Parts: sequence; structure tokens; C-alpha cells
Amino acid sequence: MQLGRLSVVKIEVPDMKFFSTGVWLRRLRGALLILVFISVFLYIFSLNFRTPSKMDVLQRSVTETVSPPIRLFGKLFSAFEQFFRDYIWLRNLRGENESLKREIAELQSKLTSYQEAYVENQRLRRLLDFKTSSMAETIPAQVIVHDLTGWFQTLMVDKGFRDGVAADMPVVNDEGVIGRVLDVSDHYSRIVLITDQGSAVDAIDQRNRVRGILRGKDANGCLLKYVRGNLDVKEGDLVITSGKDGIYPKGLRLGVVHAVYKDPVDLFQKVDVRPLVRLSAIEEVLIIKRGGAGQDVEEEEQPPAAQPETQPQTQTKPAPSAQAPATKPVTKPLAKPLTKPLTKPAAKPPAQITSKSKPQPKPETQTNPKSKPQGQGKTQNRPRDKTQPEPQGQAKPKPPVDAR
Amino acid sequence: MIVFSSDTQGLTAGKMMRLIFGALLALGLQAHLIDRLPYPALRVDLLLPVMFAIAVECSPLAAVLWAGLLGFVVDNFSGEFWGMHVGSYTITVCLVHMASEKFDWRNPAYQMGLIGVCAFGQSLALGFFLCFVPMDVPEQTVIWISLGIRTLLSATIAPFLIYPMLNPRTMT
Repeated sequence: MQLGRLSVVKIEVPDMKFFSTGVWLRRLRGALLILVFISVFLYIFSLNFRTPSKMDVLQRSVTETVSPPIRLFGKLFSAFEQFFRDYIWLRNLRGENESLKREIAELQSKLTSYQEAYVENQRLRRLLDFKTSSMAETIPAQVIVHDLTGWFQTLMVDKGFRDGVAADMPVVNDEGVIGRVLDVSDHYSRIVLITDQGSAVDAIDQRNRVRGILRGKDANGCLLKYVRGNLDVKEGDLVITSGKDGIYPKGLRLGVVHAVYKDPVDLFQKVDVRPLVRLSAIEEVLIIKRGGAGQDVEEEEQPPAAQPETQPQTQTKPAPSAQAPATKPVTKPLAKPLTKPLTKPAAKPPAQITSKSKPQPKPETQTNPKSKPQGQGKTQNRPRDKTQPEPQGQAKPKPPVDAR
Repeated sequence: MIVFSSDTQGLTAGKMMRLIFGALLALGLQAHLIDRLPYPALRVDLLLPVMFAIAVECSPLAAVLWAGLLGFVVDNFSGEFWGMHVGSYTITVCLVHMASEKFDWRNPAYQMGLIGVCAFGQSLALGFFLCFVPMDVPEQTVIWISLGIRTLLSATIAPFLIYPMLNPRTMT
């Protein structure tokens, strides 16, 4: 029996080693490591579902630390690129010079007509005692880096919440809308472009005030969604912000209708919109402070008005696009003409609404709504203004330098 | 059987500097060169081959930490689809550590194969994310073709990025 007991004790010794502290600590360390990795990954994955706001500590520290070296690298890279452009690629200079001279001559003639229109506009404005809209404050910022992978439509700029930037502020430049601030760090902000698939802008067709939601499609374009198939949208129409989404002020230029696809069985038509801004070549942007946006939204409150003629009478619930009054739009072509003169006029036309540097006319005063009955012809719904050339038919924006 | 654990134990300052410099250079190129390429198909991920080199040079734990850090940096500057780069880089270093015992990691074909597999997984995830928004069949086809070319390109350039980052002693 004694021997038997001893042997039992000898057999149990390896099992005790199995439960020894060293082994358990090793296992615990492994489990802890796995737990830490899973936690870190879950944290990173959870960032997909956060609401746009100020970046958290980790994001801010990474952004603030990595941005300066990337910026420095960008400057070096630009200098290298500039060297090649200046000294190596000079062979196209002569041809380019000739074409630019031709373009300047053409633009100067257009500039004369624009100046004429501007003077007339000023005179009419004084005459009708238009209300002037307040000037929105903007924050100029420089683009640090575009999306690293090139597959998402975001970019980083060198102004953060210490400069007064906050989430959801609209970002523009002189060509039109770029996007909005997604989230901010101390000195940097992340901008989501209008071409990003997660971006949505309440937009209207400037010609006939057809309303839709401009969603990003890819790097080259956007889609104007929820435009009913029976509404009149044409290629070349200028799409501007409606100011009703609470983010973008009214009248900012978004893009030009590139193609319209109508499917007889589909309720909505597919409107392909090309942004006016060359989003792949942005270097400087203007961030509009929130004050301006809210004000414009309030200004937009309008009484319900007549629906365009293109709308069927059987419709019971008017679509958002149909809310555009027949009388209102006739002439609030806030967006400036598509053709931008190379040489700026001495006095800037009032349609420079991206920075809101000039007062904007109120639509109600530009036309007499009572004088036009409901259900007028389509042509009467179009924003025809003597003072502002119609965007359609104007020279289209220059194609981007790179094909992206 | 390839054993590079002895090399990975002693992560010297020089080796560390080489890795940091390589990673920053790849990051800079990714930010200022790859992003400007006109065709989406050309927008490869330069950091995948960098991850391969890091996995070879560092211990598994250090490599995973590197992957997490660099992945977070790229995710942070992308601002969307958080976790894709952290996940793909971590998987890459794990795959390198697991498979390198059975394959000759010095062989460019193996390097291209492994980076190709990782880039394929990354492209697959990216494709599903991009197609999350409903779009037409032609547009989807363009995206998938671009991602396919991107995968092939990533695999092709892998040895050219991996070799300069490796320690010559490790190579012999």
C-alpha cells in the first residue's frame, strides 16, 4: 500500500508542474496579448461608426506627428517635380504659349461683356433696393496630403480646431464646392470631398431648380440622385447647392451635368455630374465658418409655390425638386458663370459666392411673382437674367490636368 | 527550413533606422506619388512590401506592433474604412512569419506570391467597401478590374521594395 501511494504521488508531480505559476503566467501573457490586439482592432474598427467630430487623442497624436514629415516630403517632391517641369519639359512651351495667347484674346472679349453685365447688375440692384447678404467668414487652408491609398476621396488640410475649424464646415475654393470637414485635430482637419461615396449634398439644377441629392460616385464624378424621370435635366446644366442640408450655403457651384440616363421603368433618372473643382489638384481651400451656412438655410424658408409644368397633375406628393417655385428662380443665379476669365475684372462680379464677398440679390425682388401665373411654360421657369449669362452654353470648365 | 529568428532577436539601432527610414519613405511616396497617379489601377499599396521586410527583420511581436502602427497611420490619413490597413498589414506579417518556415523568403517569386495574396485580400475588402454604394454593372466592373491590376502590380513591385529594406547580413 505504501509503495502504491508513493507511486501515485510520483505520477501527480507532472500534473502539478502543469499547473505551476510559470506556465500559467506564460499562458496569461499570451492571452493578454491576444486580448490587447483584439481590443485595439475593435477600437480601430469602431472608428468606422463614429459621428464626425473632433479626432480622439490617438488620431490627433498620429496626425500631428506624421503630418510634418509627410509635408516636408511633399515639399521635396514638389521641388523635384518643379525642376522637371521647368527644365526638362520645356519643349511644349511654345505651343502652349500660342494657345494661351489665343485663349487670352478670347477671354478678354468675354470679360468685356461680363463687366458690362456687372455694371448693369449693380445699377439694377441699387434700383430695386436689394437686401444684401452678410459676408461669410472663411479660413484659408493648405492641403497637406490627399488620401494615402488613392482609393478614398479625402484630404488633410493644415488648419484645425485651434484655427476655428469644426466638423461639418463647408470647404470651397474659387471654382466651387470641394467638400466638408469630416473631423478636426489641433492643427489639421480631414476633408471629405463631394466625390466621396459617403458624401451627400442637397443640390439643385440652376436652370430650372430641379432638386436632388448629389452623392459621390468616384474620383471623377458624382450622381444627382432622386431626380424624377419626368423632370427636365439637360447635359451642361449647372448644379449648385440648395442650402437646405444645413451644411452648405446656398448657391455654391457643385458641378455640371455630364450625362443624363432616363430609364422608362425607373422612377428616377440617373444624372451624372462632373465637379467643377479639379479635386485631384487642389492645393489651397477655403473653409467657410458655420455662421454663414446656417443663415442661408434660414433665408431659404419659402412659402410653397407653383410646381413646374413638367410635373404631372396626378402627382399627390411633390418631390423635393418640384418645390422650386416657378417664380423664385428666375433669377437668382447665384453661381457665377462657368467660364472664369483668366484676368480678373477690376470689380469682381457679385456672383463670387464661394467667399460671399459680394452681396447677393434676393430672388423675390428680382422678379414679380404675382405677374406670372402658375403653370407657365417651361421657358418661364428657367432662370433667365439679363445681368447674368446663363450657364448652359457657356464654355465648359477646363478639363483637369490629370485624368483622375 | 529558413530560420531568421536569430537575426530578428538583435534589432540593432542601424537596422531600426533602416526600417524607420524605409517606412517613412514608402509613406511619403504613397502620399505624394501614388495618390497622383491618373488611373486607379496604378494606386498600389507600397507599405505591403515594407511589411514583408519588417516581418523578416523583426520578431513577431515587434512586427505586429509595426503593422498596427503603420496601418493606423494609413487608416488615419485615409479617414475611411478604418481597420482595413491595420488588419491587412497584421495579416501580412503573420503570414510571413508563418510561411517563411516552409518557403524560401529570399526567393522573389515567393515574395511576389505572398504580397500578391495579401494585396488580393486587401483589394477584395476594398472592392466590397467601394461597391457598398449601389452602382451600375459597368462601374463595378471597372472598379474590380482596377483592383485586379492593382493586385498584380503590388505583387510585381514587391521585390524591388523588399530587398533595399533588408539587412545584407540577413540576406546571406
